[in-house]
Amino acid sequence: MISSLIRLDLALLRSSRAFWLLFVFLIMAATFALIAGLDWRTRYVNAAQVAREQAAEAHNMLAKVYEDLASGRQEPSDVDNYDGASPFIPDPRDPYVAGFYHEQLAELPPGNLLGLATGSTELRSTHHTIRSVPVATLIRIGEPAERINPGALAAGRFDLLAFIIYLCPLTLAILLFDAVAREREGGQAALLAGLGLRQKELLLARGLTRGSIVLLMALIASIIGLALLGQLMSIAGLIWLGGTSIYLLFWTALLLGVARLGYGLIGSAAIAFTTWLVLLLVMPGLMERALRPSGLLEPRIMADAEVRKVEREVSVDEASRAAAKALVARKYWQVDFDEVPTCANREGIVSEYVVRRLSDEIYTAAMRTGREREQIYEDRLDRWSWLVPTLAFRRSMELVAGVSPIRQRAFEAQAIDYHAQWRNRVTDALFTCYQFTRSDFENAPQFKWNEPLVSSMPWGVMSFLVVFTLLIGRYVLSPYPLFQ
Amino acid sequence: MNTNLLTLSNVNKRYGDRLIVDSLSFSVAQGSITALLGPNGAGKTTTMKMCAGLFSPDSGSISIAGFDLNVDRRTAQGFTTFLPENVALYTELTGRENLAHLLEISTGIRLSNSDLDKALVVAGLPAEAISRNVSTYSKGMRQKVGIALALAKEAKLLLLDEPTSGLDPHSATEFNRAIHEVAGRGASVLMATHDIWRAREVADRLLVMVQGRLAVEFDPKTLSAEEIERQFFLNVR
Repeated sequence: MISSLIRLDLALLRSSRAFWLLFVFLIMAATFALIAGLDWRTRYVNAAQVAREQAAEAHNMLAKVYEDLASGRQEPSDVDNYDGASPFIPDPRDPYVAGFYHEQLAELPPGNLLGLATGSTELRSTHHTIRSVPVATLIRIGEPAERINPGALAAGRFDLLAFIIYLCPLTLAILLFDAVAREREGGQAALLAGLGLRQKELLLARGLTRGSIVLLMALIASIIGLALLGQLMSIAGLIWLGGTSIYLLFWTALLLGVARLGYGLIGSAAIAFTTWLVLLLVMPGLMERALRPSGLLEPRIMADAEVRKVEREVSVDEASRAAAKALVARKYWQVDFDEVPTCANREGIVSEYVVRRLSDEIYTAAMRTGREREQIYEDRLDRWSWLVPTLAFRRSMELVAGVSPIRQRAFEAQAIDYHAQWRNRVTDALFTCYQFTRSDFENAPQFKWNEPLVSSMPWGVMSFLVVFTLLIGRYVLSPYPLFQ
Repeated sequence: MNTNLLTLSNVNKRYGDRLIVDSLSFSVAQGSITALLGPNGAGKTTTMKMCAGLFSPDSGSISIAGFDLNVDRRTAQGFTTFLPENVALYTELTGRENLAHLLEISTGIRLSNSDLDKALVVAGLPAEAISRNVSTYSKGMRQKVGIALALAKEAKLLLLDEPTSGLDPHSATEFNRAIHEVAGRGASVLMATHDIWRAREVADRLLVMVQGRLAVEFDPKTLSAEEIERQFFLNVR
């Protein structure tokens, strides 16, 4: 009987102009989502290439300076007596100068599935140019990096994930509403009931037909996207397909449950639309607001505020400035500032360096504190986001696609650690009269991205969705007086 | 052998505080045409829907061909075809497609186009209308598709709720002919109507319901039209 009902439903859909319009709209939306996603991926890859080329160019420039210095073809500018008019020739051996010119690049590699999900609006820089001199550190000053941050540019755009999360459930709601309410209002449901059909069979058949069509659309779009990215048979690709299937099955069951509650055309439409609105647009925001720790600010804002405060304090008078310098020197470098070796005794430079370093330490500490607070938020989201399947699914799939805020924060943390490591080398050299050699320059440690362990959240979410789907399915299939 | 195809025993149905069907008992013999008469609100449609298995009585039992609707609903419904006042077919499909799908859902049988057309023509649907969308059909034509379903399904019991209301005289006569065609093949017909004159023409037996109860029963063959009319209005008042 179910197969007969499905054949009837397919015949009805075939002859429905509204369905074909919706179908074409879905195809166009999926195509647009894929094109937009792949375009952003291409931009990301191109911009990453540009960033790498720029870093290589800076490296080559310094290599040439080393060569010129070694051959005597060129003399570096005297930092202490630089007139500001002639071209400044950096001396990469000088630790202070090296801090400005020894650039390193920290790059967050694109996730394999970037293109299917371009990421949330929380995405941050995916490339950091790391210098040891704090004021030039792009960890702190984000703007130049943002210009080469396609991940951030792409954030929040329409992509396949948005297609699956927003459009598919909406289409499914419209199709199910159309199926259930129209047959009920039109009297066909009563006619079918008189033929011995049970309400659960009708709902099941309509849900299966229309849910399958929407699921098929989402899966076909996903398969095309995965094939274009060359990730069709990868673990991430299979997780994407599995997650999408489970999510849409959940929506089918949920909307069947909603259709069960609807009495009359307006009632069914109102309930279905309200469900879509609440679960997709309202609940994620409410959940995020409820779980966000109070007073949680963007770490950069907190850090900048801390730095400004300290800079104000140390610039009040010479005595407080000297006290601050002494404090920083003792605290961070375990040296008495008055006993700094003469080789580094370029009062203005070292003094400036200390203030900058102080700012940088404070900034880094504030960033770490901010990240710790954000981690509390992430943990809460991991623990509770399953209550809003839409939010949970988005977080899970962004994780799979490699554009999740979790991955972004891990990258930022690693970049900050790498920055600290590079900065300490310069500081040590400054206070021990060490001159950087060509070998130091060539063998400087490179940033290595360590992919963080994937959160266990997706499995919890998927388990929840499966259980919830079964529970709703059971409710849907229990008897109720549809045909009265 | 049970010669009564449909039997209602002490059936009660209540909507909220209102008793719609009150201790109703009657039976419909195999091959007979029975008309259930009564004024608006007498409980005819509720009775028909209970017989069709659309919902259950609060108490009492309804059996079709010996199968209790409360116990073997699916089996009992397999013997019946219920046509409501407005036969709600799928307007996007043709008459033939409607019949094919409804028959398949009802019995699992998939007939050839020629067999489907034959059933529709026997039910009185014009041949040229068979391939037309049902949206172009009149009420009478839709009912004929319903009759064709009963014929194709070989239903033992045809339940008709207000079948002739809104039909012009010619269509009503056509409809009566189709009913006789069904009954002539051995099926029983129970039709709810408030059209006493049309019922008298087609039925073997007239049952009058008033306020949910069976008030009186007539045999149209033994009473004159005037007497039936007089008795009817006497009871209905």
